[in-house]
Amino acid sequence: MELIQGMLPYLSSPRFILLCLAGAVAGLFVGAIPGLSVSMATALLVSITYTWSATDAMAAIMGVYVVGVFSGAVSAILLNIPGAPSSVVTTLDGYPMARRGEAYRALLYATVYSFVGSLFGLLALGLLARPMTALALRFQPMDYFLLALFGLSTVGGLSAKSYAKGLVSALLGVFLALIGLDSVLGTPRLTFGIQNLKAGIPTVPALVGLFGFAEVLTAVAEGEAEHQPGRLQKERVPLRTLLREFWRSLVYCTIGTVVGALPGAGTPVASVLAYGEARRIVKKPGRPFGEGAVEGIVATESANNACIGGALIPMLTLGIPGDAVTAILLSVFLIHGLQPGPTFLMTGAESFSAIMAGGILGSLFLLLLGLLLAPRIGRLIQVPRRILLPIVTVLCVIGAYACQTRLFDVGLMLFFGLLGFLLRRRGYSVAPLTLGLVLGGMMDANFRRAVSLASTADNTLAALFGRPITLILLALTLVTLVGNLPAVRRRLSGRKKE
Amino acid sequence: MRHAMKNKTVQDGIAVLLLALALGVRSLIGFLSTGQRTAWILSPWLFPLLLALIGLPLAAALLRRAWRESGLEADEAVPAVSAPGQRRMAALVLLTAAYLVLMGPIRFVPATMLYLAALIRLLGERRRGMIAAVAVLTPLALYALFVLALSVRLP
Repeated sequence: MELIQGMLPYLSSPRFILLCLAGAVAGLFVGAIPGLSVSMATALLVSITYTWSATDAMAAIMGVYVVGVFSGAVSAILLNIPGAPSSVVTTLDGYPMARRGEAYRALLYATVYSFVGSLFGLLALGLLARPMTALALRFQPMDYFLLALFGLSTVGGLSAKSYAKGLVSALLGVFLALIGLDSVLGTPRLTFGIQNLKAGIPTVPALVGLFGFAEVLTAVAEGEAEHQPGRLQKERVPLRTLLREFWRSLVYCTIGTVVGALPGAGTPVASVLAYGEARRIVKKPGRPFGEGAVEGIVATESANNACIGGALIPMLTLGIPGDAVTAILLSVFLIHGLQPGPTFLMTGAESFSAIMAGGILGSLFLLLLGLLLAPRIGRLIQVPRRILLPIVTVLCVIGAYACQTRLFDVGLMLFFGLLGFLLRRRGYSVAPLTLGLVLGGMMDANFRRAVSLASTADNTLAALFGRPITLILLALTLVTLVGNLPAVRRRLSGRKKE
Repeated sequence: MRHAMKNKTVQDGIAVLLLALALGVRSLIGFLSTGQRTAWILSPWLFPLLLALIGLPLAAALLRRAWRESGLEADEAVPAVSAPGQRRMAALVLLTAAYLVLMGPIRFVPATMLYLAALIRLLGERRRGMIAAVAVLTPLALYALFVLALSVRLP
């Protein structure tokens, strides 16, 4: 009740609403353009909002954050280029739908369930901040490592035809993530003497290459540039049909919120886990997963937007950011003299209310802009591909360059484009590689931290795996790995047939 | 043997095996060169070594899969790229490399104009007016958007 009363002044302030709307429009635009990321836009906003009041800055940033996470799905669905790592899994079903002329339907589901996810996450932030923080505080390095490993073992199943190929792709991603200065001792590792690789492989050029440039290469190689794309047909989807996935989406939202609350895990893990859960609980999807199942879009989009509320929980209550954007948000707080931490809910109640109000307004703008503007952005696919592809290539170059303003990164983008193209030609999905790349550094650091901590204990094994959370995560990972072994799968499918 | 090597799953299995072995050997050298016991635990090569160990059974799984594919014929990868497709791809990569080289000396807008014109022509657009319009307007619009509106630095 107190929280609602605290939010009312913001929800009724025209200035606050306008700033949030401006942020939301920027978020839609940034997320939908391949190569631009929400974290990049938020970082740019920090420099712009430096002289603003804290609440004004919160309004604009929450607008960008909420709508930006969603709008990654727009380019994922229409161009097969995820606007953010969180939308990687959306490409699996979104793009096949767009190719079949169902882009509008895919966008509609993405919009509605991103909205549901955002509200769910914010509700969780309002209600569960304290208990969730207590749970997140119990996670130790080995738990983070196993959580990431569980995410990767699940993502192996994303390449539907061969689990081994999915794991190989994920392993390659983790290997690439190890390139650069090691995070504990600071010694160069696998840099092959290349100075520019010392800082590691930047995620943005790799993502842009794997999804953007590789897509252009595929289209050019297959002569698709000659083809006229299908029209974006406005489709009438009855509300009852649209909301059929609502109850299941609450499961994905819960996954998103919990994963979001774990620092470092973030939206990619949430969307992968939710997608894996959808594959498990949806017995008869409209179409097979990976070939245009709306159930897949519902899972990833509700989970990654629910992450927003979840990611804000450790940031506000512990001062530990849950993802890149909340890390930037933390810097905004510090710039404005606010100190997130265990006492923040008491000392910074006004800012907390502003964040909640900004998030709720951002969610409403997400729904509005998603329904009104996203399909118009979809007109992009009506531009002939022989015109669109060169423009996308230039955007890929800019996206790769803009992050660190290095031409070396554009070269990396080219390399990853060729790698993505080759992998696809050989039947490998690039989604596991991307997730390996994003999670590899975190896995390395947490694994070594866990081993280091356990080495000082009397019983090393008990120190590593002796906690209930660790055992649950270990069991989940082993069940996923063993359950995907060809022999076990054959036996399980044989039993089902019987 | 030559027949087996044509199978893409066999090729992939061997590639993963070689990568895992190379990573394993490199990690082991790095790992063993670390002196004390405590430093071993913190060694930057501990995790790569673990990764290499995971790579070995994966390579074995791919090779076993190829072995199980009777006659080593079955291949689920996408069909090979046609000769014109290969030429277009090579031209795209070369053009992009040239674009990168040119961007430094002649700056973003002129380089992008030349690149777009060449690429649109390569992809089959014949209308000169359209090529010129897209090649001129796109870099200017992108420059206004990124440099002027978003303060993003471009070459």
